[in-house]
Amino acid sequence: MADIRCPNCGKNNPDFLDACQFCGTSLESESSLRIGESPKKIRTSELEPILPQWLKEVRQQNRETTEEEAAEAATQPQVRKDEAPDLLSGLFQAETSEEEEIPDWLSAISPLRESSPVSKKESPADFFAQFEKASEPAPEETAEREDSSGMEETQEPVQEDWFSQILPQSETLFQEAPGEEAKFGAAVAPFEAEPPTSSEAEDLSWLRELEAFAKQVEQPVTEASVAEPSAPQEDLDWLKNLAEASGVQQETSATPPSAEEDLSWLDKLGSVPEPPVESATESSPPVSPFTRRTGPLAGIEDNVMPDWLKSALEETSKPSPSAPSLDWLNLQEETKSQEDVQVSRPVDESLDLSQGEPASAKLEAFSAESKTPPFTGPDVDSLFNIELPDWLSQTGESVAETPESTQTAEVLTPVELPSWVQAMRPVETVLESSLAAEAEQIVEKEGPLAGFRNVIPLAPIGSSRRPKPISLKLQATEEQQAGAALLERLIAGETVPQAIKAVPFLTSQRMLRLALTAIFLLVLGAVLGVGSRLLPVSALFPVHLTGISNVVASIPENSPVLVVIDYEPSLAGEMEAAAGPLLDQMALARHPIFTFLSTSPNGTALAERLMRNIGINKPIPDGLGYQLGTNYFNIGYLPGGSAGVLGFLEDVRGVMPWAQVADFSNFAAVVLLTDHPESGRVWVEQLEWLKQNRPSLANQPLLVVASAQAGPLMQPYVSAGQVEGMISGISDAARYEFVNSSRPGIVRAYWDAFGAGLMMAIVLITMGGFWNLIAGFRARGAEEEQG
Amino acid sequence: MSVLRVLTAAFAIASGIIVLLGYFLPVPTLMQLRSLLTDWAIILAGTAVLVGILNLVAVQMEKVRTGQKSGIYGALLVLALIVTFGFGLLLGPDDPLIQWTVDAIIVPVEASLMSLLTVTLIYASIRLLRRRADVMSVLFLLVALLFLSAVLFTAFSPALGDGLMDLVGMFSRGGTRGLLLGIALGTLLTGMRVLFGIDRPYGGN
Repeated sequence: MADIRCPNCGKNNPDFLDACQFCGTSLESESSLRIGESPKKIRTSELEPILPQWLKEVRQQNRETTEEEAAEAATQPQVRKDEAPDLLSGLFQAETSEEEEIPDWLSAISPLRESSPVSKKESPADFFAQFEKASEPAPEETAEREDSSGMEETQEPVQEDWFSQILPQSETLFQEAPGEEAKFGAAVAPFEAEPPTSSEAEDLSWLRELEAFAKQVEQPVTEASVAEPSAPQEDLDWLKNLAEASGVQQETSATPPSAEEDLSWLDKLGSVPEPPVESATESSPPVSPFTRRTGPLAGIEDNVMPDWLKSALEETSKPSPSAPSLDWLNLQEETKSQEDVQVSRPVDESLDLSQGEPASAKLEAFSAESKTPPFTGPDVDSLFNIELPDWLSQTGESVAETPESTQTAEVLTPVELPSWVQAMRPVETVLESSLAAEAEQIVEKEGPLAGFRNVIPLAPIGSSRRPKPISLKLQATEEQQAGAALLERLIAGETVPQAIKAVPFLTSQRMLRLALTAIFLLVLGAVLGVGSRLLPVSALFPVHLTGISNVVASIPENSPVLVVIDYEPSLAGEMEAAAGPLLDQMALARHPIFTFLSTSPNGTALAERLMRNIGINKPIPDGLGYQLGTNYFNIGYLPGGSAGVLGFLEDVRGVMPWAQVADFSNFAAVVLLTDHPESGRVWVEQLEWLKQNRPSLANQPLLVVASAQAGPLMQPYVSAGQVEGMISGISDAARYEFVNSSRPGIVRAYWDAFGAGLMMAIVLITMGGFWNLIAGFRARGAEEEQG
Repeated sequence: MSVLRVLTAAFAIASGIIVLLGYFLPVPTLMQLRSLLTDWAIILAGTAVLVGILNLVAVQMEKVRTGQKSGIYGALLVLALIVTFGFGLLLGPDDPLIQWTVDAIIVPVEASLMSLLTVTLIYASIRLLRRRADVMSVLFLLVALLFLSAVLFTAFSPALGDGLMDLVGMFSRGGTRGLLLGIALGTLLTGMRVLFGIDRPYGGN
């Protein structure tokens, strides 16, 4: 959001506030102009006396520069500024373009076109000097310049005829206002006694002189301003030129030949003691063709005017586009003048030339009764001083739409066009539509859209221009409707409850599954129930089994042996069968004291189950009579993974306070029962590092009992010598039990059932594979037969 | 948050470096620090088990409280957990009641799940062979048949079975060694990344 700085207190306020929220000062900018508001005139001349000297000098220089530019602009063709008709402006544009070729008929129309290259070749200094010369009443120089200008040559007779007659008429205008002229003469009386001075002295003193003068003639001037409201500055340009060209020009012998010429005309006015009418009537000096004299043309007799000028002076029924703006400006000036009279404003402000109102109100007294129309487009035609072609002059007349113009307009005879051309041109239609479009253009006068044309269409609500209502009913073809009906039937069929088809309880697949399950249960149950020892056990030891018996034999009697339970209950059957022969042999031969440590949460309970299933804790003669707390200890669960293993290896009682041994080296052997290769690897790696750092552990054997799936991953450690022996799965356990003549353990009971189950599985898988192969061949054969 | 992140990373890296240096340098101070950090890790790991149990109870109780479909199973799980935990804490793992619980519930259930997993894997492998018959599937079929034959012959003909197992074991041992080497290198790289702060499994992303 933008902020507005308060002009009074200097604090920022939101832009939506109209008054300062701190001091209440209005935040609306005085210079801002809103829609519907007329511009307010701000007089800065009140601040003029308090300006410093240097600023006054700067302002004075700016004024001089501005006046020079104004003088230069006055010499330029004013076609654009005065909003000439489009045709004339187009001619002006064509004149200024150097690249385009100028047709002969157009070059013949405008004499300015011929003189323009000459003026372009001249430097700007020469150009202004030419104007200075033109302002001087030197007939010889004027004649020379006319000789050098082709334009003057071509238009000389016409100009001499009608323009020489215009000037007396304009001078007559001054004579027709004797009362106002007397007032003006009284106003400028103090200037009569003052001789003309140099330009510099004049610049410094004219304001003081004006001030003194204003004090004397304040009242008359005020009356003059009341009698005639001030006109726009544009209207006074011609008056200044006229003053120079008429009687005032005769007194220009003392005029300094400097660039201050435009400012000095006022002094000259003041220095003229007698009315300038007489001198003006006696001698009408030649007028420069570049001098603007477009004001008092209304009083000129019709017989001395060219036709095109007559038409230009005729009051148009349709005001030019510039007329409204000038009207409101005139009205504003009138209002302002009336206000000035009421408050008796000082004269110096009215006479202040720096404010753009150089005594305009006073000079209007000369033309109080002969009020000229504002500077309109037709006046621009006087600049060309040419005889325009008929078609060009008719343009202005057609705009005027007067009866005279209709009488003088040429009637175009219709041309017989070919029938195909008449058929092609939609003239009437285009004209009607264009006229209707113009008629429909309404200018908004109120609200935020003020000034815009044709913002809201004229078409009333509900007219034919309103979009036709579109029916919401779906326009579907018969085919689409048939498809929709089919879809509806399908959806309706899905919503209708259907009776569940009676599925036969026994299908072929289900029968096959039940049959297989029955076969396995019956065969394996029978083998286990009977206690078969039919399947042979190999007496050949693998490499990883050869060192286990030696390790068991090397264990001292009644020495503590650590048994690590690192398997889950799901594999308890396999692990118990695999570990049974080793633990049974060890307990039977060396009577070690087992310390069970679990790295699995369920391992604590599985340890007791292991001792019970392998029959070690059973009383003699069925078991070995091991007692918990006497012959074996279950010290619980060791958390922490590898860190826990490391901590236990380094400080047994520090990690497991219920351990029977104080140091890990007290264990005669370590038996690892694992079904996870990762946990088995942790024990192997941590123990190997401890053996390398503790010489007392160098001879401590590590035996591994692994499941069939973990055995292959532990095999490399066995081959590397980090593990003295390993029993992997039931197969190795059965061999170990068979070779060592251990007590008949559970592994032997499992061996037949294990062998029978494997054989059945392999046979069934093979049979199923062949059945699928045969079924595939049959399906392909059937497909080939069907083609 | 950035300060906490830096602190956690610094503490983790320092702990790893201390433990690693304690392995390689026989400095008593480093070894004591390593032992101290190891004890802390063990305690935290034991606590993590209890925290996991509490989380399990909380999740199941939430199911019961919100009346979800499996809420009854959650309630049964929490009840069994409390009873087992109480009896095991009071009676000890060698009590006949706890042993009955293990023999009658835990081991059969887990063994059944493992057996079911085995059958499922066999069935999936057969379906895979039926759907995609390429070189790898043929190779897998050959290895499976060879393994089954070795096991079968081990049961019925130990000599032939041992020969086949040695033949199969030659490839499996080679593959196993390569696998272990890969695991070791991966573990080393992971440890170095943690030490250098590249990986922050402790939540210091």
